[in-house]
Amino acid sequence: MNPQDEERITQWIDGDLSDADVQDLLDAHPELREAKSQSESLGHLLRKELDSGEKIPYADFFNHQLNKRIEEEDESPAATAARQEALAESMFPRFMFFKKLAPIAALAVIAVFVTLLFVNVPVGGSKIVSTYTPNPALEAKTFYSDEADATVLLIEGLAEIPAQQNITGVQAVGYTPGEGASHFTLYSPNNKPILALAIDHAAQPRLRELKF
Amino acid sequence: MRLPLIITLIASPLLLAINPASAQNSPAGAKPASDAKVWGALVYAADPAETDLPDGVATNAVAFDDISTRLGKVFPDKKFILLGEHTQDIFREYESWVVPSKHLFAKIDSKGRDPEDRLLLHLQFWHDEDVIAKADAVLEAGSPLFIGGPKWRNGRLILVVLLAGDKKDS
Repeated sequence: MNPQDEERITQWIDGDLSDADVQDLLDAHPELREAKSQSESLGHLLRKELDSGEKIPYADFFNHQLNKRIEEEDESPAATAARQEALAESMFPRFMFFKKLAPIAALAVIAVFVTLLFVNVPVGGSKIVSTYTPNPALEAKTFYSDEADATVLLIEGLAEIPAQQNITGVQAVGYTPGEGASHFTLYSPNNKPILALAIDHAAQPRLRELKF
Repeated sequence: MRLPLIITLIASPLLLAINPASAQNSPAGAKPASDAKVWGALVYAADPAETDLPDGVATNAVAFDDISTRLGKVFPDKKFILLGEHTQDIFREYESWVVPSKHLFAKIDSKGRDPEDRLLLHLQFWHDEDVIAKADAVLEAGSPLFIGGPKWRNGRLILVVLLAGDKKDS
């Protein structure tokens, strides 16, 4: 097919070709008859299936959205970001206010973190790291009292000791291991033996007051 | 001939490490190293209106006055009576017992000192033949540990554990 024939085919499609020229073209290229026939069949089918007379609902809105989409595709990324921010600010003004504060807040958090890292925060006092009560009926509560500068371990759920039971203590100074067979003697400040401590084979302490 | 001697020399410290109680059977004079000195006290926090109070023990009044004041911050409206006290070395690698009373006392296992020179320890709080509570704790000199125990009469029994020494500036 020479360039002139291609030009005549274009004119034929556009409807600018005279009947005589169309006949000449089809005589020269008989395969175009079949192509023309298929094209006409497709046109009839489309017109039959699609009601070209149906109106688009809300045509103005449709056209507006279509034009807007075309403009968006044509505009630069910077322009898109500016337009979206303007839209967000108009819809959520408070949100945009906090959004502007975000960098300042981030700097403040970093400043506090660095301060905690480098400032010598006093961390004194005794403390309880962990507790365990073998009897599940008991509960151990711990806290630190700033006022007393003391650590407190409260054991709740203990049975009350009967008031008539005599609870006594001793005034003892340290014992020294090595006195034999896991038996230790505690002495009073004036060097009198007052308490015997023995650890049995089950690691159970046995205490006995010594009377002299 | 030398092999049994070498094995004996190697095994002896291992056997001692496995069974510390055997080390406590060592002859007198071989005193184990001490990590700290601890003061343990049994205190009765009584109702001030209570009459016929139990007898306390005589002690260093100035030191116990300070502890009483601190106890009052935690257990307000109470009167504090020192029932017993025991000052004890806390031995390195050996269990140590702080026994201000045969009724309520503590077993302490030292875990050494931390970089701030505080004593790391495992503590067991005993009431007669029962372990009431176990705790891992850090003791700083001058900052006591108050263990609130059972109620008795119109008040409560408290075990106080205090690491001896000067409190470090924090």
